[in-house]
Amino acid sequence: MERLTLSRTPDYGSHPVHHVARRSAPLLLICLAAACGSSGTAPLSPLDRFHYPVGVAVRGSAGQEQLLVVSSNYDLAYDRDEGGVLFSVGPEASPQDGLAIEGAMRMGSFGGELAVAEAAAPAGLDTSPDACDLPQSVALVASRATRQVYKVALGADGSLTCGPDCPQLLPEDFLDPFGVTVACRNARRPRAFVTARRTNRAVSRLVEIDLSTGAQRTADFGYGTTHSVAYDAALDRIYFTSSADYGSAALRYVDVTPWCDPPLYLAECHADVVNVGEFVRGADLGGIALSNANVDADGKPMPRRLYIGARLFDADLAASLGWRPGFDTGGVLIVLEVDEAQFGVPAFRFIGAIPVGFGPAEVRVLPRRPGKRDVVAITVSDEGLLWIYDDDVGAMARVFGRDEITGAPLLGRVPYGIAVQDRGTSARLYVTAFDSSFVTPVDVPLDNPGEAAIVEVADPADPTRQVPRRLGQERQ
Amino acid sequence: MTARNALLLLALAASAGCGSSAAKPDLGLVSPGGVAVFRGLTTKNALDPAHPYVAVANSGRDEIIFIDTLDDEPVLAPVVVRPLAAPTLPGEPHPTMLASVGLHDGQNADGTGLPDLLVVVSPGSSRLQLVATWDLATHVVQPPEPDPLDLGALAPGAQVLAVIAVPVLEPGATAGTWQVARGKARVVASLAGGRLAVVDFARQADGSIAPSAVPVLQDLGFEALSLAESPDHDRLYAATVEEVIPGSGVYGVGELDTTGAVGAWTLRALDARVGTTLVAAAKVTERFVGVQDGDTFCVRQPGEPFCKAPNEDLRVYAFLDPAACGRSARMPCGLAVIDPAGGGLLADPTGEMPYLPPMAVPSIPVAIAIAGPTALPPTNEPSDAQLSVAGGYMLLAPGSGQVKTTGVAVLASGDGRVYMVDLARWHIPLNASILRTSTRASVTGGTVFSPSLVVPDPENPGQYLVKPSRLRLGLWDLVQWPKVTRPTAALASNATNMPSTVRITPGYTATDTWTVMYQGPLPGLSARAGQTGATADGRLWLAVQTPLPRSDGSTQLVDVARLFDPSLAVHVGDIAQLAPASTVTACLTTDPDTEGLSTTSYETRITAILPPSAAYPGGAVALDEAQLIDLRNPVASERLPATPECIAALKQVAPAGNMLVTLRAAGLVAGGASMGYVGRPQLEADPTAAEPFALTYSALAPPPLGEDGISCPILPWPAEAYGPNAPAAFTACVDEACRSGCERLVLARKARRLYYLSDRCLDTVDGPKATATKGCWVDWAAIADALPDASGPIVSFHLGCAQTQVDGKGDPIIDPRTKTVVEDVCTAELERDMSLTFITQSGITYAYRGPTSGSNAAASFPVAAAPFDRSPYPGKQADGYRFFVTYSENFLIDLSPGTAYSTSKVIR
Repeated sequence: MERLTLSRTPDYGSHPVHHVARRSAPLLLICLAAACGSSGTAPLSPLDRFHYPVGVAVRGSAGQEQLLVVSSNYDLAYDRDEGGVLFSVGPEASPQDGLAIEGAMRMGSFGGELAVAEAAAPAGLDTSPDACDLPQSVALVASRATRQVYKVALGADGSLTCGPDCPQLLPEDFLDPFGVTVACRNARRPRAFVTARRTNRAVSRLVEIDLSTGAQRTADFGYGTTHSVAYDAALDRIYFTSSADYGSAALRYVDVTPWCDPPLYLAECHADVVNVGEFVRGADLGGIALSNANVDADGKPMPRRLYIGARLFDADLAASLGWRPGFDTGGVLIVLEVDEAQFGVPAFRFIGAIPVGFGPAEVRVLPRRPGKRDVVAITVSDEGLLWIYDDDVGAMARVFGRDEITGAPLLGRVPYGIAVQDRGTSARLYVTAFDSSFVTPVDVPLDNPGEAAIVEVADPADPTRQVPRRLGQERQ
Repeated sequence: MTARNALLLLALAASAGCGSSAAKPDLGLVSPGGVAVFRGLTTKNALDPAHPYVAVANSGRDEIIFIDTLDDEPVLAPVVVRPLAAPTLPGEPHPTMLASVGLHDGQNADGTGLPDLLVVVSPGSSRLQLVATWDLATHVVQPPEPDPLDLGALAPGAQVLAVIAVPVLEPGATAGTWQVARGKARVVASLAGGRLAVVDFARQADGSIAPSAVPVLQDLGFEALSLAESPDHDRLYAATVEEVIPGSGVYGVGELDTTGAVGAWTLRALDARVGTTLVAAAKVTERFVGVQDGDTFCVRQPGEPFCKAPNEDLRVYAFLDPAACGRSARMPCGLAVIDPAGGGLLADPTGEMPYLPPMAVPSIPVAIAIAGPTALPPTNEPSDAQLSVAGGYMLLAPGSGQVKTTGVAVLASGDGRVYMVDLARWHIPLNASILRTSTRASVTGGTVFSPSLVVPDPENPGQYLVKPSRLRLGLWDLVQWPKVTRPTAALASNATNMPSTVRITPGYTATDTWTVMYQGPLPGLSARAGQTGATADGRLWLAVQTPLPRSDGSTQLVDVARLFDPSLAVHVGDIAQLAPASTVTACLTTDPDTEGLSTTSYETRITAILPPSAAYPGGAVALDEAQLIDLRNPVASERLPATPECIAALKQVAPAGNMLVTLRAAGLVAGGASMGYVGRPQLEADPTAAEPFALTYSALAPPPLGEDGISCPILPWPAEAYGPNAPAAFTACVDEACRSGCERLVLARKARRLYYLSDRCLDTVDGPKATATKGCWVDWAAIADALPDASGPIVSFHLGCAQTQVDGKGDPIIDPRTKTVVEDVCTAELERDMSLTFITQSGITYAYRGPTSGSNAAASFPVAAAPFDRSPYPGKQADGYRFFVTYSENFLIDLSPGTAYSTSKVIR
């Protein structure tokens, strides 16, 4: 029988299942599976439906949007090396419970987070203010099965093209690549940073990929693993979450300014770490997002904040065991303020931690609100929740869970990835349901996030009835 | 009892009669949120309409569950699968807030006897959900349409941020007095948008509770994050991180006089110096400061047990905004004590500081709850005629020993612990003595370091030798000083003899590693990216900053160190080292080995501190370019000056970061690994003739004004707000008088008290003082008589240096009698990076409560807390006061700070 995960061997510096939550093993096995044997006889993955979607991104303005979704082939029902799929979907054109697929590209299984590097002037699509100096917009996604990063050219018609430098193999001991973010600042050297959920030497490792040349720089930042990355374009700095078996919750940052451009090694850039476990005991950091650059009502710049999803574990038990227990005890959204302070280096202030339940996953910041702090979305996979947090009032504004009548999960089973589309006075979220294999759009009024609602459409079977909009057919 | 209730009761009795089971369902808690104690009617105590229960917002299951406060058993449902759960209303998932209050219309003397008001709120919602505490079938009341408790109708778009339930006051028998109205209660909800919504409820004829008036809005002008009421119910307190009254400049707590008409409550700002996030209020009697007979609450007069009656001082306790407070900020972090009568922070009873320093809390609390003295004393109460529970006192049982106090708070905190606060003593009690045994505040070790020297090799010109240093730093031991024949024998330099030479003060000294270094790098200013350029008058400036090029060709500066900020302690005369990048070709030098060009480091002195400008928004230092020397040669006397071409190149502002920078002190510099810069000690040749180096609040900031008497136009740093238009006083603060004043303020803030002791040396514990040879009397000899209120230095010491005598060959001279090297007091200049290090421990081990180790419950994240006095209930007198604390890990704890940790009970 083919194994989905490696058993613990003396070669491993970390326990392979230390991030597996009691009630989320299926999802988080994505983050653990590796080195499965290639199955030459396995069928090819379908290109007409999602299959355990994880990463998601949206680009373009309302009505012209292009939705990118990574199918992970989590159960290896299809070929390991080509069982994953990156989809390009037109959400507006998609029928209820169906997909208007504009492009699809097979890739390695166990795809992770998805990031898009927008070229300066992509035809037919809005440009990002932090556009990349690239000839064409690209999507980046890593496959943990093949240890590769796919840099996929995005056509204006939704086509997806894996060019000559795609996929790109990551270093040999860079196992389980997962998180990816793009760093383009004022068209300076466009880069992507990729995290590794596992390495041979159990170190917190990042790979920087120069998106123009394909050149890689790798750096280790102490013991542990890396999870998700957030990029601060204003300071040319990346923040990334990491964790370690014995329970530290390391939030690290690296100033990736021109000062540390090649030929310096990435590890020679200015970097430091803070143990978030000192603020929230037993925190295991996951998704991370950075607040929008903003000014308050008096025109004074607001300090930037970091929003981090963290699973909680029994820190006392971890101390006894010597590593993180394999089950969670809860989950929180942690809010930290980044103060540059007198020394010109970040000082982290703990603002608060809001319980969200078991299995916090991805965190996204919604578009900027003039004079107000941000609205933040976080998926909680184990409990099937999507929380909307209003940082301006320091409280949760809305939570989506189960249907009150049927108890059915409103966002599908195991909601995970979130993509955010700026619609002016509101934001549209696209939430992937990992276990249900569909995507749900959610509208969030930015001035009143408590009124956030799942987008509804007339039920095709009964037009008098409104039902949640669903992109993709539910996997039974 | 209604007919419906009777039927339910019968059904319950019938079902019970069909059989019983020893097994009971667990609570089924999923991400529990708020908790509240209320009195009401349930099937568990169907004959008691006002039995006390704990309501828990079972957030993950969209319901409320109920637990009997007397036996910690859940109220069971008619089915045995789960306990009774009251689902929240449709569209109101994940309840997190609960509030309850009695209507004071019961038959008991305290007004109890009938069911209380209980409401629940879901996050992001504007609706109050009323719980039918009067109905045997406990449930959330289905409101009519439109929902009169939907505050969104009153304040569209508002969400409830905090909620509290309070009694309603009505005029008393005499003018100006107030009394609690019978049969009425009120819910006050803080709404987003800086408003309060007030909803009045009243007991109905059938025993139910219902809204008695439409909700009314009360404008606040700030976002209230937490609410509390005064024990007399006539004031409401609101925590906020915003200015309490816009334009007033006052941050702290808003106080509302609730005796007036709702909507016209008057607001007063209580100054806590920074914003607040949590608030609670209580009446306590605080311990008396200055009394000499140990830990007591007042000076006892003949015939008078107490100097004043228990629990007569109104206090407001507010947790300070962690984003605004701090060691170097205007206010340290922690739980502030506010005296409403004074309109702000309670005065420091010792008179040292201009305010009572807040109680330091080792984590960030997410909830606060307060309990007062119990109705009945515990059955095992220690005898103390003066401080009896019956007299208004209560027990508190930290690990350091049981004490009596007049008010106890608990802080459910992010580190998984529930800290207990002794409100009468302004501190979290300790689990071990801060004055005695190995746990006490102390200096635990020390070491010195002298770098080896590089000198020219006389036998091989052009080559160099490495020789050990002849110098060592040390701390003068004033006890040994008069006993030794050679002064340097009293110079302590190792872990054995250094601890006794450092004076510390319990309650002031934190756990830290302290270093004194000669020409050491200034804290935070080592190996930083920097930039140079030329001032308008042609001087060479240096700033610690990184330029980022913009696409429009301009440059943005990041990682800016505020060299102008006195917190960084840069002085004129200090040393600047810079290592230009290889792109600054004019500063490259020829490597003698490879004969190729290579980068090198340069060094010079700082001639001025420059205020911020567009080129250097954090300020800069002007450098003495005439003394700029190339550091390539290891022998200082052989170093060459920088070339004019190099200096000219440095004056051209490079578009990219072009160098690494380290700023070093001109002489000795002292700092703590956590504390940072603390000053610049001087060497003492004769310690009896000089004042020690000390970091002492009262010396830096003399009373009565303390730190508030020091003016510094730079603090708080206004650069972000003012930019190039900074006030003239800010930019003018370049002279010695202004900068030294600012540094004094910075150091005074670091020297603030961090803990109020309540312990002192006692003959009964430590033996007679007169004959003591060790222990408390000896360890704290300098301050023993002033304890527990003694103030003193964070650290204090006499610094010295010894220099080894050498013979004509340069070898050390050995004393033939003692076989040790012969030393004199230093006359030679100290060597760079010579250092001395010692370690202090604070002796502070805060007492807390949490799940017991045998409960197999993880103490990760407590969420909410509610107090309850169990003592008046039959058979429960010994239990005393309790707190019910919910944990997000799907359980709650019934704990009491008045009993041992092991008595905490996990309920799930």
